[in-house]
Amino acid sequence: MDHRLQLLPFRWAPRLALLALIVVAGTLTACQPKSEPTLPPATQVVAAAEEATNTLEPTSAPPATATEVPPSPEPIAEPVQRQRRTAEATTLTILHTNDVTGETDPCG
Amino acid sequence: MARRATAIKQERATNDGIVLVLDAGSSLTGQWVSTISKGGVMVEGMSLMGYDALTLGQMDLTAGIDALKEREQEATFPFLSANLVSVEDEQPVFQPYVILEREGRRIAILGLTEPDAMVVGADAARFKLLDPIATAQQYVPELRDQADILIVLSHLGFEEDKLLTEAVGGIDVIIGGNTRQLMQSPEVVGNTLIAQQGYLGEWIGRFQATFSAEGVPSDFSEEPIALTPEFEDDPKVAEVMKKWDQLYPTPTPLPSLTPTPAS
Repeated sequence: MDHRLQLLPFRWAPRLALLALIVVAGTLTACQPKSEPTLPPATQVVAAAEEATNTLEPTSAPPATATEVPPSPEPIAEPVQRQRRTAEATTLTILHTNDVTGETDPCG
Repeated sequence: MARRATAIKQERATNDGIVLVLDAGSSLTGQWVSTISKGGVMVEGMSLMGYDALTLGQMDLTAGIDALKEREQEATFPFLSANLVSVEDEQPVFQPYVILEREGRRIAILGLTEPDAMVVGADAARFKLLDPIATAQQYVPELRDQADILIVLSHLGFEEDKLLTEAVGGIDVIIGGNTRQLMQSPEVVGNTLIAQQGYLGEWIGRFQATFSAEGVPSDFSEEPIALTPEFEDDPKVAEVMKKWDQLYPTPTPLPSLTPTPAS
């Protein structure tokens, strides 16, 4: 009896310490502000298409905030993939210049 | 530049499908106000015109890399060069490419600068130009996987663009510069279409092609649009030009704008 009583604290001490660690870690995690969701690259592509602005790769643009892109339960990349598979023939027009050499008014 | 803005507006309004506006290099500096502003006037005007990307050429590099990095921050479009790298780590100094998403298509644009472009003064010790063909061989397979249409925006020159096409498969279109051709139709080399158009901002090139769902081009054309007086000045761009002209009045006599030779 005395022998078992003496062993008990030694058996439970590590378990109690582990439990305490888990509780402390959980509390600390819960106290941290939620990090901004990191948007997958495809989200930036879609946003860029809607706003007709460039999507820059591979330079990492600052991720859009959650308020700018409403959360969606569906992976954002999916619509892009579907569009690519079902794309019809597209006319591409490239208006282009070269070697303007800083001429602001070439005919002036 | 104000006429160019009007022409681009009209082209955007009259062409269906995807319309991109690109510059193939050596456009930011040269004339007095653009040189003294280190490309400031051009970048402000081109941003108003809605350019989608620019590649860097020899004339641009005379502004100095640090100034170009500042201009890039002011611009609404990226400066591209895959083969202009830091001497220290051989990493690109500017974005090597951009991928645009338009009408469900992913369009990759890879920028290449001519290898003998002058890197002036102190820049010569910090930056260098890699072989453009080897650089393209590195990037094109990767971009081919990511994009439906692959455009190279090149300031290598017409013959070098043809060599590039022969050495690197998988390029759909090369929009070029440096050799200043006026072209009435695109050059077809293998499966690649090559176009460039004039110089000094007196023309805009209009390249068109229909890309099938599988990405195969057909019905392609290239046409120079001469910026004749029938294009009225765009008032916003005209205002930008006036502002910069007042900021940096052209001196008389005009001092030499010859860039410092590379050391």
